[in-house]
Amino acid sequence: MTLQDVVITGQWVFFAYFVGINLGYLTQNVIAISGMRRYLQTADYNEAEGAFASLDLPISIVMPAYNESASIITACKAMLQLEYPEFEVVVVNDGSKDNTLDLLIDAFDLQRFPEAYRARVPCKPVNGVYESPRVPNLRVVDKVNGGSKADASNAGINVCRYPIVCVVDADSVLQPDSLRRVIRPFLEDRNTVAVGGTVRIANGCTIRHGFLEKVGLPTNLLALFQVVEYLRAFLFGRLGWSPINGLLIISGAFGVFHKETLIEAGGYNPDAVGEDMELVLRLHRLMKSKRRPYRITFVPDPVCWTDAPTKYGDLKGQRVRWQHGLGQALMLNRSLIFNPRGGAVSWLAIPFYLVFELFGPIIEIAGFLFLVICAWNGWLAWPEASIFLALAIGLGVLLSTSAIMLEELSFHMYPRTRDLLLLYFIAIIENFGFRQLTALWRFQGLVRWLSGRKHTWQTITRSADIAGEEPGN
Amino acid sequence: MLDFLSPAGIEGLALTAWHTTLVAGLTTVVLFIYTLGLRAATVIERRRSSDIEARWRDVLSRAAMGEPNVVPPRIRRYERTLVLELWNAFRNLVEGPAAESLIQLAEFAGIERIATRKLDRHRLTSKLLGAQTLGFLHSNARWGDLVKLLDDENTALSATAAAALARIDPDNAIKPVMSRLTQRRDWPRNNLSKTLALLGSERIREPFAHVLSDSDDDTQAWLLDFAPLLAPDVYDDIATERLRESTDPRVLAGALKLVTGRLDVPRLPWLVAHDVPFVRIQAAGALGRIGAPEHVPLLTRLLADEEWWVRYRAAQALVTLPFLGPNALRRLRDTQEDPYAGDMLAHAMAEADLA
Repeated sequence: MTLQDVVITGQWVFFAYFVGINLGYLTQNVIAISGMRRYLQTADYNEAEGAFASLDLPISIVMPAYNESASIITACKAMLQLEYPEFEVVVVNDGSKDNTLDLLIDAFDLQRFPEAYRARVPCKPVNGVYESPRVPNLRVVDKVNGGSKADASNAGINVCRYPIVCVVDADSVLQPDSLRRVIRPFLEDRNTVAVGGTVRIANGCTIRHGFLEKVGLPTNLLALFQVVEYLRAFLFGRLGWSPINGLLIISGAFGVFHKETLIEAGGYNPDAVGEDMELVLRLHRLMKSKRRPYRITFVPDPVCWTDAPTKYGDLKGQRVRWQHGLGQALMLNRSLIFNPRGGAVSWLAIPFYLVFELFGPIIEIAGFLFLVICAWNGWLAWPEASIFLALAIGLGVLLSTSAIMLEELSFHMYPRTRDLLLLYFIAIIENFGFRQLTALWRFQGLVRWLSGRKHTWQTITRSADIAGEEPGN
Repeated sequence: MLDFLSPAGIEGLALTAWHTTLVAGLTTVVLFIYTLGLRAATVIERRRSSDIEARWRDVLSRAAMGEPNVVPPRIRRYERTLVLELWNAFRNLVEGPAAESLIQLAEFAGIERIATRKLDRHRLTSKLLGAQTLGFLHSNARWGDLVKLLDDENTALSATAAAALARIDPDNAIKPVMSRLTQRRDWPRNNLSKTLALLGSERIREPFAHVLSDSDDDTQAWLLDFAPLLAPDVYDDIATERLRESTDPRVLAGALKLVTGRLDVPRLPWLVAHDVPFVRIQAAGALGRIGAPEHVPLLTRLLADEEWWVRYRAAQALVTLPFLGPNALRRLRDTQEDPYAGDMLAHAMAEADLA
């Protein structure tokens, strides 16, 4: 094979990848727009007619906490104030080294309780369960540190009393009516086993007493990029997969599960780097192997707000971890790939994730190097190359614009017009550096997974006291 | 002038790419303008809505409070949807004389006419609003159309039509609604409960029992959840009959949930030892509600069940028995041979503050 053959073949590989990924995203976009339209048509009606609340399924909220002394009390109080007829909050103190447990004991007059604990999903030993005589729907599980959120979540799941389990991050800020919104799919379809909700970026918003008071945009550029990224990921990424039951991720910051199915699947995998995605894939695998009808679905309402990393190192660490987790989750559930009984998950979603999300960074980085090499050697037809570059940027901006339009069409959470204009500006400039950077980080994550290196947990610097009193930045 | 559409020297795939770029760029601009237009429309709509709301909230509040001769403002075309939504929201909150006043106000304001027009619209939200308003108005102007909507493929619309019919004329709504009870398993449980409650326990008594007896096990198990909407003596009979005859665990569990202790439970020892855990769970709960001293040995046996939830429900039932005081419970706890049984009773006692 001559060098010319390599260049020509390379061109076609990159071109096929480019066409495939953009067609995929555009299709998701179209499905999401139609799904959103349908959803909005009945959402208000469901709210109005949902007055007979006694049939709402009770929910257990599991909130794992490790060294969360700065925010645990506010977060806990906020959870307890959610608007829902019947729910309990199970806080899991995962062997915190700080005074998280002491603070909880003081704030809620917790008393050690002879809980008849049963370990239905594996986790590290539980030291004790605490109850509050003042707040009957709060329990705190104190356990030996398991080194992962998954292990702490499993301990919480073991203690849950109710048929539906909602797992949230201790630093998540929930909308007061979030439970009411995410329970709807369980009421509408009894085959629903898991529901995810839209997670938004809390940086720049005003949070008081653990609740969102005012929506705003952050001033930090990295956080701003993530605002647009999250809009894209949730408003058409997930909404696009949901109608065909092809959802592969439910964010770890807020996920709701049918408890018995979750336990049947074995709970969270403590060894998984991306435990949230791994669990959803395992649920798909379980239901398909048992040949049971099921739905894993997504509600587009913004139900949860989370703190985004604002420092280069933190963001890089997060993205490397996500990519590593993606590879591991797909590998652990590889029997789903092209499974004859797998439906949209096996034949559409996983192949798409495999080619464009997991191995995509290889093509993207290689494409960039290819471009540089060709330019260096004078092999590049500049007019044509510029056109393809413009097309890549144009389609990127189009997808972001479409996500912003969906947000304005549905929830219009950003009240100031200048916020909207800023989002458009970000949608354009993210194509010049940020996207390439994330491709590089994803590539590093992929290499880390392929090389079998063990993932080490990092502490991400909080940019905003999102569970406290002050506005975040 | 349009040379940029086919630049010189560019051909084949690159030309297609160039055209796609132009289309993407143009679409982006259109979406951008559309979004800004949406924003502008939202801002105008919000301002307008707050004016309408302020005006109508006052009128609706005065009418609901019973103020006589409240004159409603004229409803302009662009105000119709919001006024209907507001009127429905108020109407949903009140019953009795206040509801009558609101209906009277609606007559003056011509709300019925607007609602019937909404029902004819193509948009789902308009149809929903129309059906809901006609229901709250007790207007049978479009009875036939609402009955037709019961079979609409859209769940929300058909369930709203059912609720509207039940509000308008419960006597005549019984037949069309109850005949669709088993066909429309897609109706959300909350909505169906509300509709059945609107129809009234006396009215649904017979058709419900009829539907139940004609249904398969799966449907029976589903229907039993709604049985508490019936009069207690009716669901006592329903429960007893199912417990005597059924072999389906879901039906048995559903019937056990209805047990209140007014009647004897047939086949009790068999139910307590049933293979399926959720039947034993419900049996333990039923024994607690019956509260008979002779059932203490059965509950004590369930306390050592292999299933956590069965043990928990048995312990809860034991703790609620009025004739077992704290000392008797402590003795029972301390004499359990099975450590799980003792732990569970200690747990339930601590929950009841009896530890």
